[in-house]
Amino acid sequence: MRHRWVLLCLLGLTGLAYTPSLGGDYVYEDSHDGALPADDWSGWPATIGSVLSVAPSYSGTMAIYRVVGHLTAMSPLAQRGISLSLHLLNGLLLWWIASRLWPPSGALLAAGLFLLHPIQTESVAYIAARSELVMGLALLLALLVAERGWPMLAWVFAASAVVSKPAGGLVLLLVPLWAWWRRLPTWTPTTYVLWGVACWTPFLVALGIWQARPLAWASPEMLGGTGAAWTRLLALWVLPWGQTIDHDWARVPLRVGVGAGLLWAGGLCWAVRRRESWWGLVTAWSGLLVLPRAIWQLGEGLHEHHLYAATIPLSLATGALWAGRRV
Amino acid sequence: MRPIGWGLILGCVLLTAHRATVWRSDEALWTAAVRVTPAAPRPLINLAAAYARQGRWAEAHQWLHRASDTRRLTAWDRQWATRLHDFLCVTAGFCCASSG
Repeated sequence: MRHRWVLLCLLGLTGLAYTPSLGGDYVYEDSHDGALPADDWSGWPATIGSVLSVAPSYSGTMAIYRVVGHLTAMSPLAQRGISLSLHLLNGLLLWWIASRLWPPSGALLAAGLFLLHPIQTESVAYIAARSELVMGLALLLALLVAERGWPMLAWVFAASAVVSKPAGGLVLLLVPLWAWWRRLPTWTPTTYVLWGVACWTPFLVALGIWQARPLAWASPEMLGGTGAAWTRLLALWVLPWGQTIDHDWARVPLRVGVGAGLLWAGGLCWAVRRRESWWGLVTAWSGLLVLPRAIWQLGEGLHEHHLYAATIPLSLATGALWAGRRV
Repeated sequence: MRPIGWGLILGCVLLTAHRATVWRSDEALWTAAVRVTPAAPRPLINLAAAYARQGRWAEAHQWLHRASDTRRLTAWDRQWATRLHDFLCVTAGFCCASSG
């Protein structure tokens, strides 16, 4: 009972910490995604239908923007409140998962770090980054039901992540990775095969094939820059100094990127060899999250909000360390 | 949780609350970004745009000029800077030879 009060206290502290951002106006690209004109509303079915047809891989996120915007007369406070509520819900789900794994102190620390780590501010306070929160919600729901032994329901939640953003398709890889790493007894080899077969349609949506977007292979510079940038972002988990909306990745020398890439490859080999390790899961999980940027030349560079899904295993690994489990 | 756990959480609360303040306005967001990466052109251009939206033409012109001086503009940066320069030139009479 006492632990639930501590959890409530953590949720309250999160609300308090984000209060300074709530009263602000729309910033930067919020006006592209969040502040849609009020007269853009053309009734519930037509508006939701247009969102689905224009951008299937963002349709879930876009639908939330439009519905909230319509109901609240485009209030930035309401949009920020929705983002904060999604983050609080995600924190609650993470605590639920963690409390199935460890004693309460470890679960509470994992949830507390996930809710309150400063690296999360870009995902929570920046309305335009809401797709990370929606993807995180689908991912955490999928992990929760996978833990409870319902792989089919886990697939439904994982597949629904593709309507948050194109990278939501990665959830379909992260959930079986979690099940394999945790050696979940309900996940048999047949489950993994069926999961893989059922993934094709959501993958096509995630890749934006319907939008016929041309994809180019990642250049060596892009690969090196991504490796270095991702390593730097993960380092912000330990030392959250120097946060910014626009990291100057163009200044990263190629040799630093190659070094970071080699470090990642070594870390991944180490992670697979030590499958029971939580830090191994963090490395493998982060490797999967950065995979599309290692293959394709993407238009957008890496930002702090791209770390949101990676903070799930990071928080859990820190909670495991706290609970005295093998990390 | 033990006291050290609470210490960690309270440290996070303070840092997050501090970081959350920069998300109140474009000016605060890009001023903070310029502080972290002073040589990156995009934060400089966006800070100039934030000032232009407030009608603070001289400051907008000053930051846009500084962005042009970095000589590291990408095609996107150059396009954005040119549009802002043209706007400042027409609206406020702040014209210069080149916007970057």
